[in-house]
Amino acid sequence: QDMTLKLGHLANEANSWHKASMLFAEEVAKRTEGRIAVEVYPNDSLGREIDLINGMQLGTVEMTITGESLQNWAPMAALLAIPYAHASLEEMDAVASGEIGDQIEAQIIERAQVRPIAYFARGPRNLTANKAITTPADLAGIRMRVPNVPLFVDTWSALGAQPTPMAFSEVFTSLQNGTIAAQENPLALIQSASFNEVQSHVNLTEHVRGWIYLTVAEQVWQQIPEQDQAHILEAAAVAQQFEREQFLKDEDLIRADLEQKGMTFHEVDQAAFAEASQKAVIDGVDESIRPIVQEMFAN
Amino acid sequence: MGLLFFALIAVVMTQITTRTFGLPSPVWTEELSRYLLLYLVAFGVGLSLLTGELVNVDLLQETVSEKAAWVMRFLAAACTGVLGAIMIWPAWKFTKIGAFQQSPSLRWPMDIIHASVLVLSVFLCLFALLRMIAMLSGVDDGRPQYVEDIE
Amino acid sequence: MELFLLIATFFATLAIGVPVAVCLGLSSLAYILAAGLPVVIIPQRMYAGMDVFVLLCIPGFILAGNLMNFGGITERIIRLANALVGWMRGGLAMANVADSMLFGGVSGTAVADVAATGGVMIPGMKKSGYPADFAAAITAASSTVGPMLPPSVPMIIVGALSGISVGQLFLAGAVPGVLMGLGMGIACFVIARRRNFPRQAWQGWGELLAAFLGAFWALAMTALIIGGLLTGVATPTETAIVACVYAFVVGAFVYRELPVRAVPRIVINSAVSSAGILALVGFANVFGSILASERIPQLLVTSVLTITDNPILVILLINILLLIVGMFMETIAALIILFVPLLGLATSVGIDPLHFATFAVLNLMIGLTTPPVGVCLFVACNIARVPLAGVIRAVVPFLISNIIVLFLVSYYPPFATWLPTTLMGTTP
Ligand code: NA
Ligand code: NA
Repeated sequence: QDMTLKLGHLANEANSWHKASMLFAEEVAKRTEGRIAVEVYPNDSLGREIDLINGMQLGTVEMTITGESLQNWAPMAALLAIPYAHASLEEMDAVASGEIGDQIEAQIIERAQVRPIAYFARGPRNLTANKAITTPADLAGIRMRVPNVPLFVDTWSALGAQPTPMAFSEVFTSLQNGTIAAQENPLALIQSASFNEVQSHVNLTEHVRGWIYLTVAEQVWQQIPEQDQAHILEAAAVAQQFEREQFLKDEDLIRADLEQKGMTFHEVDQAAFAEASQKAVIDGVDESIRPIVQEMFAN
Repeated sequence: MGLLFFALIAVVMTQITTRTFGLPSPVWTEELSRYLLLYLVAFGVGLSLLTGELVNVDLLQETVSEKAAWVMRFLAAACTGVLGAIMIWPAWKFTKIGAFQQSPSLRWPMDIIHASVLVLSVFLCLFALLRMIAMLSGVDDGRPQYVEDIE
Repeated sequence: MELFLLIATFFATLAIGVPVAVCLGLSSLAYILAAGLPVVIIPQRMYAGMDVFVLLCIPGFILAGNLMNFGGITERIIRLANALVGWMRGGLAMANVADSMLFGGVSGTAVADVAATGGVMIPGMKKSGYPADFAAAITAASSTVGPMLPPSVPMIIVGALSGISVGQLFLAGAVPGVLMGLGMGIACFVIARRRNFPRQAWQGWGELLAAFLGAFWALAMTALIIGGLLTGVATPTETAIVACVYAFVVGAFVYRELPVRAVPRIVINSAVSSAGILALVGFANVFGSILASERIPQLLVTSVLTITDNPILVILLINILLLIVGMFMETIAALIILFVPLLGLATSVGIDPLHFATFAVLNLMIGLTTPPVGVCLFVACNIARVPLAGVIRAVVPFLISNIIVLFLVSYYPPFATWLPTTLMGTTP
């Protein structure tokens, strides 16, 4: 064995990212005949996303799963999470694996010194609350939590809500005591954080469809012999396909589980949400990517 | 340091007030409060070494002679100085990679924030050295100096 | 080999009296150098450990405690406590326990709790004639009730790590938390008899009423905090800062005893105290991340399973392991590293996850008051300004009482699961 790649990520062991990572490790060992070993550390046990990216630049960790957080380094990574940019998973796939995806990856490699080798679709973000919210008008005056992402604040302000950025660790208690009345996240996170206990409705806003990358530190990648680089990319492709199957299966299971736990799901006038937020989204993104965002909306 | 603390309070109160009264919540409060906290530690760590608030376990020192205990306290200060000194260069490296990164809401270059660990290392080293010098010149016996009560 | 160096350096430096934070840093350094890793791990992991929003409640509650101390709030609370239970032997010690249960229902972390109640209760108990080391010991021990009662930072972290419902976790900790409080109250009662601690004559209903009215604004602080939480004005972390502002306003403008000139110094002293604790958290994160990358937790799990798969023995082994870990590690770091692998171990032998989470957190709370790395013990020592050795002796009876509660909860699951199951339906 010549090299060990430590892969840290934030998901728990039941998550499809983790299962795909484990498969990736297996495939890499098989294809490189044991020359390269991948060790997977779930649950942030190797550090949180931003720390891991810093660690990859400093040579203290080799791999992670990361997405729009990379925009702190590479502004184009913001394109991984643009509200209402893709109407369906297929449309998102076309962007992620197309020309725009290539540009994003190139900028990430250059500015953040990490190399994307596969991408996983993220579950669309949905809005939970204690009432049905099916049109932007239902949002009037609702205090909701958003992650510390200015674009999300702008989007929800434009939709008429009162977004407040808050650390994730505070969200459950704040929903419980009413500091906030709503929050938005993918179904998997709604389930793992038990928001079903403090929120009764899932409004299928599907406002952000995005993806996330499996990445290797660029300085490590350059040390890997070309033939093993090829093996790693093959393994990554296998993991990507497996993750997609697992992800689609999980989304249905999670919805069923949340429904069984008493949450009501509502179809939402997504077109109205998309229209009401579009200007704010275009104004809110970095100038360097504005033309691309406009193009994405135009399609 | 006091100013950092006041700023911290002001930032958090801004968050609470705007949210409570339905005003637009500034997006940067959570971020800024974390950064202020980091600098609070960076500037406070040296003094906390002198006041014993970095937490010494003096069980063994109390069982040996005063002379041996003095040597142990001197060694402890030296160890602290060494750790601080060794951390300075890597902390500088860590600071430098921050330059490529911007904070999500304030859009500050992150080297400014990463530098808090550099400041921490320098202060740790500096205050340990000060204590060693003071111990050698007999000004300080190396015991924790409790802050005087405010009357 | 590197691992041996890590442990050996830690104990060697600890023994000569190097500050614990520095011990954690130096032993990590020894490991990193021996393993040929980049030293930049230290500043990087330290930064990551301190760049956490919930840590904000530490300086917040320390400052609030100091402001209450200098603003005349302390004395009024003590007067009330004396009027209320001072006529019993050891009454103030029991008031200390009750105080922590009340504060714990607000703060969510034990360290913040020692800082808040300790800043008030320790000087008060000293003034009333209690030995300083006993005052520090009961303050440290009682503070560990806080995170068992909701809200609770460790429980939130457990929920985030494992997907167990945070609401159920909060409820699961409540009964064990009350049991801990009762246990320590009984211990106080017994010790107070034996050591003949001070008591005052019953001062009559008039004094009780006067003391209550005098302490009204001080008591209203607790009500304000709880009210703020319940009505959703502030999140648990923000509550700490609200407490500072309130303590300042009451001290300076209502009681008019807080010298405004002295405020900058109070703030600086609080900042220095917080810096020490937070630096400790930072270095503990470096140390913890080395253990994690060595996969020590997984190693432990597999070794336990080779010994036995009997649930009763596994619970015992887990408790012994966590008690030892709790002696040397900061709670949040210990949870991050150990909780998920141990949960896997527990469920593999049929232990209910909610039950496991409850006794695991309770166990790590005990670690906050055990030497050599007992953060609450240290903070209490600093506030009381007494050497650690005496406090360690004084804390033993409370440790025993807490360990008894730990074993009750470990071997009788309904203590943990009854309340959440009754109020929220079946456990997942
Ligand atoms: Na107490
Ligand atoms: Na609590």
